[in-house]
Amino acid sequence: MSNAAIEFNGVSKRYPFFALEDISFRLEKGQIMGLVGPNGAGKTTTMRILMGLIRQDAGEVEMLGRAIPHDQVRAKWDVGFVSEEMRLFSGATLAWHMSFVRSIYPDWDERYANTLLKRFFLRPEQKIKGLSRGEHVKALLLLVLARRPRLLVLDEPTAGLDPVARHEVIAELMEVLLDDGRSILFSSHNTLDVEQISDAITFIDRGRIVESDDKESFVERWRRITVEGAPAGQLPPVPGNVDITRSGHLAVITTNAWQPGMLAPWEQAGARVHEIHRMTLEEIFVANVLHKRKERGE
Amino acid sequence: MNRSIFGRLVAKDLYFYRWMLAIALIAGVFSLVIASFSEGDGVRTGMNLGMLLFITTIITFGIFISMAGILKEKQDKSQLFVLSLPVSAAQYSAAKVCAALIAFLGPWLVLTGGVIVATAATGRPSGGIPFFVVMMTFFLVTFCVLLAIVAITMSEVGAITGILITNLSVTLFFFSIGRSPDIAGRADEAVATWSPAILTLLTAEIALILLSVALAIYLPSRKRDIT
Repeated sequence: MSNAAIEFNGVSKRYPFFALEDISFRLEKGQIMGLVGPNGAGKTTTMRILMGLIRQDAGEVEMLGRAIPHDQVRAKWDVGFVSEEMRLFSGATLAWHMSFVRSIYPDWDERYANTLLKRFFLRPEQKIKGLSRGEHVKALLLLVLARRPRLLVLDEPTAGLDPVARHEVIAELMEVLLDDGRSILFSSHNTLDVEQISDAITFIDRGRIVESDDKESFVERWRRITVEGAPAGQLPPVPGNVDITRSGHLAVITTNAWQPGMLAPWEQAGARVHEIHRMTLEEIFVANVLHKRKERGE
Repeated sequence: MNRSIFGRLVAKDLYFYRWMLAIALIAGVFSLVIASFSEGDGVRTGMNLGMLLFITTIITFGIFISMAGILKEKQDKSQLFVLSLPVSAAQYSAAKVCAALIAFLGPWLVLTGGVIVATAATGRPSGGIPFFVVMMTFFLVTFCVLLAIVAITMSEVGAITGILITNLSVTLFFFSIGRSPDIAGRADEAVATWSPAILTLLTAEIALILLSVALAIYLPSRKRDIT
């Protein structure tokens, strides 16, 4: 039995027009991982395999030490899953949903549920069909968080939310993170959300993992360096060089292996470093995905 | 299987069916009351109108239960919410089928039993009872077949095909048994006769019910992907 909260090992799933191929990553207990990818990258399929809703064609999946899908029922006792597509029963009230979930989970925290009701400004007697998109997501989160699960699996929970609702949801998740024992897998195509709460990031594109690492490592490794006065073809090779674009006598080099000493050979070759730009997660994501697509000849 | 959650899932569905159950019961009783006014005009207008209403009620109720109970939950994505709870796809499907069966069987038993008891209690001729039981069991068959088709295909096209097949079968069924002297021919007799033809038909109906329910539970549990 593994000590990871989530472990994917060589997981594949084929559809007629899409394939998830050789997905492997690991989420440690107490860690928050952002699964970042463009629309149609395979984030939702990955999450659904994890929740036992879709059965993988090959590979192994473990959630909280239990094999998925075979042992999904026991695993799901400790897992809270919220997805962008998930809906509550439109004809029932939030109070009915709370009572339904409470009747299943003995660890339901009534006091915390009431705190969340106030914080999210939700009215239990309101029918679900009367809730806005933001309120609906908050209601789903309330039903999940009040169970105090050890693992949260959140599939694009902030998609379609206005900035205020997004802020409230992210703030609540950040509060949840104060509990060190809790793990979160959070998928989004919004890198800003992921950057705020994640401490590990996995990039996924066209059904394949592009890269998986700590957030800090990504931010520290990736730089966009503008150099001036370097004739084409005369710059010494640089480790981790993923892209060079030229505009006149300026060259913009993107590297994923940044180290302060790495500029010395360029300067010796006559180049003058104009700017060293610390890349945002979105820039890293785009550069990484495009680089991997180029490498695969796509 | 976790019985506690299974029971809660069934109870949850029955809670959502509650208005449909009440309406089906009221409409069923109302149509049977109309059907009881069968004498006076020589053409049995009350009986014909009442039975037409009754058949419509039972068929519509069966369609509502299958469509609203099983298919709608998938279409409106509340299925994802339920599947996020500690249940497997197989348990989920079995709970849906059980809840739908219980929901249909409730009014079905009340109406079937009510007619039999009322006939016995009022001393009316009971020759029509076997025919009535065969008819009611056939409605149970059509419901179970439709339920199985919806549970297995989980698609609107499957559901519409199922509705067409079961409704057509009702017409064919009444056409065939209406011409059978052993079944419909004895409906006007004073005393009920459970002829071999009736018993054979009932046995075949029960077998079909069991087969449909078994397939409705087993085949969805074999599916690799539920969403």
